[in-house]
Amino acid sequence: MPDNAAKNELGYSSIEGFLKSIERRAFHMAKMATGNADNAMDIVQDSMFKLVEKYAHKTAQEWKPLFYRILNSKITDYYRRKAVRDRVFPWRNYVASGDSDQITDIVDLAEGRRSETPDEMVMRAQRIEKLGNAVNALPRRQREAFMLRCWEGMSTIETAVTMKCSEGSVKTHYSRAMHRLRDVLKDYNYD
Amino acid sequence: MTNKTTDNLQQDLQQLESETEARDIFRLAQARNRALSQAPPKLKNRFLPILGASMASVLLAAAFFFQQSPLSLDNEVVGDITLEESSFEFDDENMELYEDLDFYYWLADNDQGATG
Repeated sequence: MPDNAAKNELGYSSIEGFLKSIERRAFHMAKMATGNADNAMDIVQDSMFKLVEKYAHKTAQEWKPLFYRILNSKITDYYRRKAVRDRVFPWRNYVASGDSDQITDIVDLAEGRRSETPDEMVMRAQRIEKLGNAVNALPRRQREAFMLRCWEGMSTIETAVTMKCSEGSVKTHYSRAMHRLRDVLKDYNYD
Repeated sequence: MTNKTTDNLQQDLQQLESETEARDIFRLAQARNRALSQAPPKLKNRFLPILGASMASVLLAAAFFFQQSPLSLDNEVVGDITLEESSFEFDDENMELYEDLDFYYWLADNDQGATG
């Protein structure tokens, strides 16, 4: 277990603190990648379980790259299983299409920023929906690079360690992901 | 993409994160506690109906198959065999004929060779 000195630097000292700090982001990343809240929850739960089971004894600095590596691996497993399932049960795609309403529910559920007008809230919800779809449509490695670099705020080195590739590859994946997102989101005032 | 774009993206993503539904926060806390206590993850209930349906169809198919086979034997094959026919293989004379069949074939071949 890590010492308390790690808490000052990382914001957590125990694995419970680490999981608390990361769980919501991990959930939304998985949800964006899978397009389904239940599948995302299963993926995050499995990732947490595996991290505690296998790597609880590691230092606090190592938890983040390990956790995201597990999470990405679980998401990849999900895609593999889904590909097989879609081949065996092709009609299930039509049944699962009901999830498309979930993102628009954000408008109903969100408190929103105090300064936002309802129009701005709707606009933001639409923007996030479009962003989610665009991220989901990215190739796997580009999506991983985008999520770790832009969302999690990891450095290139940390991302490379997490993705088990070179820094150059991370830069390429990230740059391509951002270009692709810029093309898709050009109408949504991100520039 | 500019830094401003990245900042705006990050802002939206963080906003999305902060707007996590209470139900999902609760489920995440449950998942975390389960992981920390190392209890096995909850069984994915939604697969049970599919599993049940496939098991039921396999059982139904198996039952149908095993029920069909004896019926078809009774109705179509056994039903048409007369008592005389069924006693064919137990008849000593026919058994001898069957045993000597190779000899008769050989004899017939030789006869054909001699005449032809």
